[in-house]
Amino acid sequence: MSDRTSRRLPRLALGLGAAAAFAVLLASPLAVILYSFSPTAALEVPPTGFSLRWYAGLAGHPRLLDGLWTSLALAAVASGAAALVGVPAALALARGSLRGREALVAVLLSPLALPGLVLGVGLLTAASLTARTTGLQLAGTAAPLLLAHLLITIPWVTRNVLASLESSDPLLEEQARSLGASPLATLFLVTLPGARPGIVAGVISAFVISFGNFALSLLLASGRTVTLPVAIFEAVDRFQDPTVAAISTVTIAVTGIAAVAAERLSRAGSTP
Amino acid sequence: MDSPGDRRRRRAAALLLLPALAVVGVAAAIPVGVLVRVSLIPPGPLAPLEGGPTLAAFRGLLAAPWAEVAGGTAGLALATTALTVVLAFPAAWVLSRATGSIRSVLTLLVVAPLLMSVVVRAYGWTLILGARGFLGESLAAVGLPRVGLLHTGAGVLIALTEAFLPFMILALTASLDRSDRSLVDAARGLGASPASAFLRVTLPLALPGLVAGAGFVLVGCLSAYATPALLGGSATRTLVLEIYERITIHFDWPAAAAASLVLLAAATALLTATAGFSRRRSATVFGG
Repeated sequence: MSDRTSRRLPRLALGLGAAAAFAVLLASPLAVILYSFSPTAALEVPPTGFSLRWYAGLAGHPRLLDGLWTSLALAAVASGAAALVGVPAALALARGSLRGREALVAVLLSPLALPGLVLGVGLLTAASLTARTTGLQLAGTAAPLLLAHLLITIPWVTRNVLASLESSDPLLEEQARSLGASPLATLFLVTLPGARPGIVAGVISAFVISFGNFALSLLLASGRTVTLPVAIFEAVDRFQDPTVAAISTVTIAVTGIAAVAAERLSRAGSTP
Repeated sequence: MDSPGDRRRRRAAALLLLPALAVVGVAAAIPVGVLVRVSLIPPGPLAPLEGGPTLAAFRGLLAAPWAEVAGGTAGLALATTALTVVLAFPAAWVLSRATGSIRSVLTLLVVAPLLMSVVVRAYGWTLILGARGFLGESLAAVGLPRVGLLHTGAGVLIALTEAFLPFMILALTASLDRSDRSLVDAARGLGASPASAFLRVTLPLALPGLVAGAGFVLVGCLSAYATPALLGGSATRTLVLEIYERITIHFDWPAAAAASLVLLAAATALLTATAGFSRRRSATVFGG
């Protein structure tokens, strides 16, 4: 083997390996999107046409549509609430000169390491124990589901806002204070605008994480109202046509819109 | 040494931190505490939520079907981790060398799947891997026999690999970005073959990312429900599927609670060990 081929061969292998990896990452969403526009119920290779009939047909499947609204509402409420508790927490951690800061950060990020189903089992058990001891029926209501989604979205807000605050210059805040700005004015006119990219990224990540979560909702959202990922999970075996592909493509579009919004909002007005 | 201003600042900070800590405390600590209590109740189908304390539920985990299911789950997690490393390394290598808009596009391709629901991604693989899916139909279209991987271990392995590949690519890219490429050039200049430069320079530099990524992938596989359930059919039993059935079919809460706690302990130990190793290792490799 000449020296040139011996240098090229590893590069070629790495390039092919990378192509394989990206192909694996793209395959599943592409399959869903492609099948959702199929004119026939059976999957055809190559596709014989293009049709929107499965999207129109979604109107006749209330369980999937109800799941979509439930998931959108849950994600909106959970990410909003996560912002209300997560942004102040990040402010305290970044500027509060607290003792044991590292440990507090670890506690607030710890829900990320909890297996979703374990948390679901725990919350469901807690709800049935509450029902037995106090007669308060929590299982089947929105309370455990909302609490669980709040728990897993707080780390996303906290981490993103904390990173933004740590990279922004505290000197600017000190200057504002020394020029006579009140602490509240400094917070709202200097600190929070400076953390804008982190707040936007955190809240939108929280929305997307809640919207797509399955493991928590599986046990906590059973019954008449289910979230969309649970409804899709149940529907996979029931439909032998692209109905599930159509509603799945809608979820991909929702997350795509959220990602574009994150990109736009974190840039707009962030530079004075 | 504390000025009154410092103390006031600290008190305000504690107040701001309180709501988040309260939510995490209520929503994470109470379920784990309840699991501990329930796991000490005598297990069995339709077990009442009282009695004990006994370790019978934990002893039950040593018997069938748990031991076998746990072994199968661990094997699946290890195989998935190995496959993600093999696929992620070239992707991370390309990513760490890309610049400008190519790098932005490639990063987006890696991150985008993480934004989609695991259920949707697993469903996509059922469309690909079925005998009447994209794979089977493509084979038939070119005159080859239809092959389907749905409801096989191989199908679960492929879908799990895709599910956790982004984490491994991101972790490896972070390590490769931090390592000094001139070290590889130096090794080559001093006469190392490409293979030995890779094995003795590039790989050790990437090790912190590899171990951190492996921790994520292993824990992710141990916790996965949707992917094995949709792709494995009845062919695949995993720990989490078994826990779910204990609750929804057998109403055996103590057994489910005990298995959940073991899973939680394994996940915590794996993440702590891999993150700790990765931190120490990058401190030695990159000098703190």
